[in-house]
Amino acid sequence: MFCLSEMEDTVRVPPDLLKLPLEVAIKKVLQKLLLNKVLSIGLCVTIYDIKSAEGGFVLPGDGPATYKVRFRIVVFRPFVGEVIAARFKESDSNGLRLTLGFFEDIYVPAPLIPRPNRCEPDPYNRSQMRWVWIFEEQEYIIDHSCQINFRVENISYPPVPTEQAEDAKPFAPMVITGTIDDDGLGPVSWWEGCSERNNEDDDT
Amino acid sequence: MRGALPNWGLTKGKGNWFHALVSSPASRHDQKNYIPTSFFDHHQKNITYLFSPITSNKIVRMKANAGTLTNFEVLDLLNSRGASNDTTRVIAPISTSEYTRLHVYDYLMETPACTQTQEIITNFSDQCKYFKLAKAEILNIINIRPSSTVNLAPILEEPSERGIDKKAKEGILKLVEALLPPPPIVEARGDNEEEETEEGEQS
Repeated sequence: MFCLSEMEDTVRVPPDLLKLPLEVAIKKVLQKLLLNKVLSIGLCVTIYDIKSAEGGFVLPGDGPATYKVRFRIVVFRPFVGEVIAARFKESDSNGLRLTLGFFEDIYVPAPLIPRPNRCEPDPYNRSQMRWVWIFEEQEYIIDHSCQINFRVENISYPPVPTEQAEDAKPFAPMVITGTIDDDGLGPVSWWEGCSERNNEDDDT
Repeated sequence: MRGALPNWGLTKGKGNWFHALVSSPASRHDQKNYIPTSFFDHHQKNITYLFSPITSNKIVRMKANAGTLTNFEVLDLLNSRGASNDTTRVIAPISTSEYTRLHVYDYLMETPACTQTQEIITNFSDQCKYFKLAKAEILNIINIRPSSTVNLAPILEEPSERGIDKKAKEGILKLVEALLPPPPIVEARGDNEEEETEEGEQS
């Protein structure tokens, strides 16, 4: 779910950082610029390395030294079809929301929850809805009791809204849509101990 | 300020050429022999420069995908940067840039990646060649470490059409069992009891 991405940028190193070794100073500036931000290529996690830095000119009237830097960063960008282990965050009538700790905008819309299912108000948490999968007379609840495996269906980068209502959800620059409608997906507790049963089926 | 990025992204979606390529089903069936950390090499040849359409500071994306990393490789990288040093997290407040890094570290420590080593991964992906799996599937298996056929099912795409029968799946699972160490046992949220069993290479 992580990739290396090579980029080139013009970096201005402020004078107070120039006492540090060049690589350290440039890394500091890049970190402040890029870390924890969503670029079009994904969520930046860390700077991998700096391949080259050239320049170092100080432009007239300007304090910082300007470098043209080529560097690589580690970005979080899963590919479509990747199976990821996540935790349950919340659910509502539209579907589920899962979290990875560092990334919380993973949505499993209602059509991608295995059917037949039903959505009922959560008895433990009045503001939420709870999804339940009904299979062979058994009911399987989707809640935070264990890890949930999902498969990435789509990643989208919605455009920045120009205006937002007061109570709207905070803007999510990167949204992953996942599915749990397949064998082996969904809460791991659903599939524990069924390996013996599956060995009898020949069509998996 | 030149060099500043708005913190909500560089593009409004027009530059997402690679996104379309990466997400196409065809890219998952690539069965050529690439080294493990270069999954989508064949796309890179078409791309040299890309200018961001929005900002004037011209961040040039040389290669959007210069190599895919397994969870273990990222964990290793974070470890080498001192992410495991717990004392700094307790004493000082976490700055925004550290936030993601530390949460990624926390997340990865709960996955099978925390018991893997580079040799294990290279060895495993070498042995997988016999089963003719796509690179994306090998990555998935390394990251998820399926322990049964049903866990392997969402990872393999169209196994029947590719001639991967039950026997092949069992073979893959045996390889996983033998070469990849079991993940730590993490209880449901609340208790983080990590039981790292270093059973390593049992083959």
